Amino acid sequence: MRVRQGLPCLAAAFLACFSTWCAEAQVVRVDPAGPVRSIRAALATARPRTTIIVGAGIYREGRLRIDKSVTLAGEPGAILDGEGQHTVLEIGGDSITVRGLVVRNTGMSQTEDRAGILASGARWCRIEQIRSERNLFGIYLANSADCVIDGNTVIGSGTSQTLQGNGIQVWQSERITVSSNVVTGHRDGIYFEFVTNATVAANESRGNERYGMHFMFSNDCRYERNVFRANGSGVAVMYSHRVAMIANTFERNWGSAAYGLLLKDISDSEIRDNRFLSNSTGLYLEDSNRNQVTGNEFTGNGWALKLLASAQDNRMAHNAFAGNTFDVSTNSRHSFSTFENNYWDRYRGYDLDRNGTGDVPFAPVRLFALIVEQSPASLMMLRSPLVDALDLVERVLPVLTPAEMVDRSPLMRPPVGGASR
Amino acid sequence: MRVAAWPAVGFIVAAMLAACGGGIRPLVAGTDACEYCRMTVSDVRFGAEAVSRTGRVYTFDSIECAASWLASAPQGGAPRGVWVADYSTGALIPADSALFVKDGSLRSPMGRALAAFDGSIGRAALVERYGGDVIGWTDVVAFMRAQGLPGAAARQSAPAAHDTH
Repeated sequence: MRVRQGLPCLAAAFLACFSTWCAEAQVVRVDPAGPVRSIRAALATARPRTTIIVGAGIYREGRLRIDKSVTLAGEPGAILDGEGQHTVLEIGGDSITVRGLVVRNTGMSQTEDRAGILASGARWCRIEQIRSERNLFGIYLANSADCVIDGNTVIGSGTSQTLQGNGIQVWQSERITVSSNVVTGHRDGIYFEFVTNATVAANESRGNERYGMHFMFSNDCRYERNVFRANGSGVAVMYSHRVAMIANTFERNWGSAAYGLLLKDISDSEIRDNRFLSNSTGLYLEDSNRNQVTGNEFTGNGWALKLLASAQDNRMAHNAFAGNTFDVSTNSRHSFSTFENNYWDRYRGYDLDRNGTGDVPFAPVRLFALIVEQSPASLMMLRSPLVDALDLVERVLPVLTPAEMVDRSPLMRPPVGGASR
Repeated sequence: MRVAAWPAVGFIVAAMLAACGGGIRPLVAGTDACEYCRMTVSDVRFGAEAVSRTGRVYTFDSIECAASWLASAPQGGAPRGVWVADYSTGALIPADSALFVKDGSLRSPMGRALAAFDGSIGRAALVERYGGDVIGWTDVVAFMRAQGLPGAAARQSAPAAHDTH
């Protein structure tokens, strides 16, 4: 639409620049029908602030590199093909925009990290509305800053093999925005390592081989309103501080090593208003301290929350637990975290003073959860009457379950607004 | 019916215990989880394994994690042995006899750029091919004990852009 409206102006600008010096922004058109037939040729002569429009067609031009401040914009049907041999498009420099292209077919490699689009040493770059298909890595940023990756569709080959790369990978960069992308069929959908002050918002990452998102060594980042669904191992956020995880959905991540959200060595972070639906383990905390876990919904998980003794001073409040096989599991008799004002569908207490919270505390750790933690094979006895009897006795006379791990003010009804905001 | 099932359950449990008595086994990408960092093993070329005194097998996604786990005095005491994957073949080799390339061009899963090789490629050839330093297992463990994984706290901000130019 925009292109069509712009065509007369485009032609005029093209004519003007053809004959004379062009002080203002140029527009160059690349088209298999000519006169400019290759992107490489257009890039070679382009001056800063040129917009290069790429017409429909398949461009096989080797490894293309943009190192000046231009915009490369594809029309529908513009395809850059790596012919199974190499990175398709590389950008490095300030204020480079690529938009509306299909980049595909880097081929696999054991020795180099090939990508559909590789940004290295880029600043103020924008990568928008790209469709990445059958690339080892889809979009890969390294040593870059102040870039935006928005509205892209990144589709891996989806086959189960060691050599699969990540969909959107950001390495050693700062102030990056990754928003409104769809990523599927890669190793990790979104991968961050050594990234600071980044935002990941409104993406959908599903059906990736390992993690929907994988964060390591990345402080002061924020991710919100993303959907992570049916990834091999869920989402892992590790070795980072001050991370805000808000209003995401973690759904249908099944497997012995699968977690809706795995937190390892995460501190001073906020996990708020997320939904954990139908995961083997909804939320897992290990070596993670001083985190606020509030307003989340845990529904239909095997284990809603696994809180290891190495996780300390975390606060769980205003969460809703319903329909989980185990609400809370731990590996210790002691609790170093607090529970308050959560809703538990297993709570059988009463509220005589009608203040909305139960009058007797709720102990969310079943005895059988402790047994399974020690010896996973015992899980096969889950439906046994013996286990029901054990749980009942333990509830009446707690001797093994963590005495301190109780919610003294359990909510009688699910928190209003809570997870649904 | 329910009563008749118990001997079968006992048999299965006994069979599972018996199966745990062996030594190392190949790592399975996408299934095995790291004992230290809990990540699912993805690239077996960087992986490692340890076997405890009681024969329990621990799997690791990276050499960093195996060394950190060993340095953290794991439950059950020192293991019977630690094996690391040879980067070239993925085969598990004893950590004590392996050569480790550190800070070279190979980017390992846990940020310390560590890869292991059996003795078939010499030290000089390894440095020539991958850069970095070649060190032994005791050096790796000592380094991980002292430095740990790249602490997020130690790195307040990423280096400025353009440093690859």
